[in-house]
Amino acid sequence: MKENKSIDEISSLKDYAYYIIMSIGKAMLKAKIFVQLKASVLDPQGKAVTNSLHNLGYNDVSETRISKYIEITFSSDNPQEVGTKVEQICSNLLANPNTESYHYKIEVME
Amino acid sequence: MRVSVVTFPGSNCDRDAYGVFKSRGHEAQLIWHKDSDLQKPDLVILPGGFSYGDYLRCGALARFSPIVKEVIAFAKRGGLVMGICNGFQILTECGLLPGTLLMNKSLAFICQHQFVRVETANSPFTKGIAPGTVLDIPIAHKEGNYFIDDKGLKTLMDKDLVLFRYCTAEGEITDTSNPNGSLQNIAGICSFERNVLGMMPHPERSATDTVPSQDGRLIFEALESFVR
Repeated sequence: MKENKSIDEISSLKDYAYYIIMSIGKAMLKAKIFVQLKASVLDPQGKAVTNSLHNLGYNDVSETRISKYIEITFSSDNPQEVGTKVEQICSNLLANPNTESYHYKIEVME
Repeated sequence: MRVSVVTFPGSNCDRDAYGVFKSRGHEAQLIWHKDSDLQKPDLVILPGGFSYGDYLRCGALARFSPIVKEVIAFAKRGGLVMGICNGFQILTECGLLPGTLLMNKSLAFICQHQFVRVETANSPFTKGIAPGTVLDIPIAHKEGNYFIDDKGLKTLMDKDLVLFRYCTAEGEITDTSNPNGSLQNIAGICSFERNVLGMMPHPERSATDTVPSQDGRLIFEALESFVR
């Protein structure tokens, strides 16, 4: 596998392991974080977008939910350490536990 | 009464609150958010505005200002804290009050006179005001849509923690008198210990002779009779 292969093009675990090994020491890690309103919470922005989509003729749109997407770049190359930090960052600041849930993935930056 | 009004970057109602307390003969001071001394107040005001530009979520970043640590400690010792508008949002974000202020159902910034009904006299902020009293107090916000889960709502009701609800001029709680979609028309709540108040309406904007309504005075009078 070529080192410059994009992470999105990697399909096998072997390629992924190779990618990580090649990247360690020079790579930075990026957390891609999604913060969403919980399903039980009304999303007025999503509702407005649904109405607009209906006006545009997309009548089969039944629901729209607006989320936040946040990218954080770390100068660390330790995925476990970064994972722990991202978890803390999400629960302490990025998401409000009363109304929002979150999920994320951590990727090696190209 | 000694009143400390906290100024965050982006606060814009701090001077209004400061002015009202000064005009009523109290010792008021403005406290910068980076300070760590509340200066021994009887009452702390977290004013309205747009702390930290409302970035991420309203009030979410103000929570990490140094003075907020002191405000939390003060509240835990039983000190009186009043959060107005953005101050209410900060109080929910820092965990002193339950629930969350979501974006208004209409998605619009609403700035208007609003009737609110006093729900209980059992708080330092409503002491002596008969439940059912209707107050005309302006609102000005985009994120005032109060939300709490069913369990939290039940606690609010069971413990009589809802102090103000949006209503008609006659004091009826209706959908049309709900400006922002708040659950059960909730406009203001207090903490379990009843010493922390969060409210979206601005009593400091209805407490001087130069404005059309002076109904906010009742809240300041209640505080004065409580602290004395």
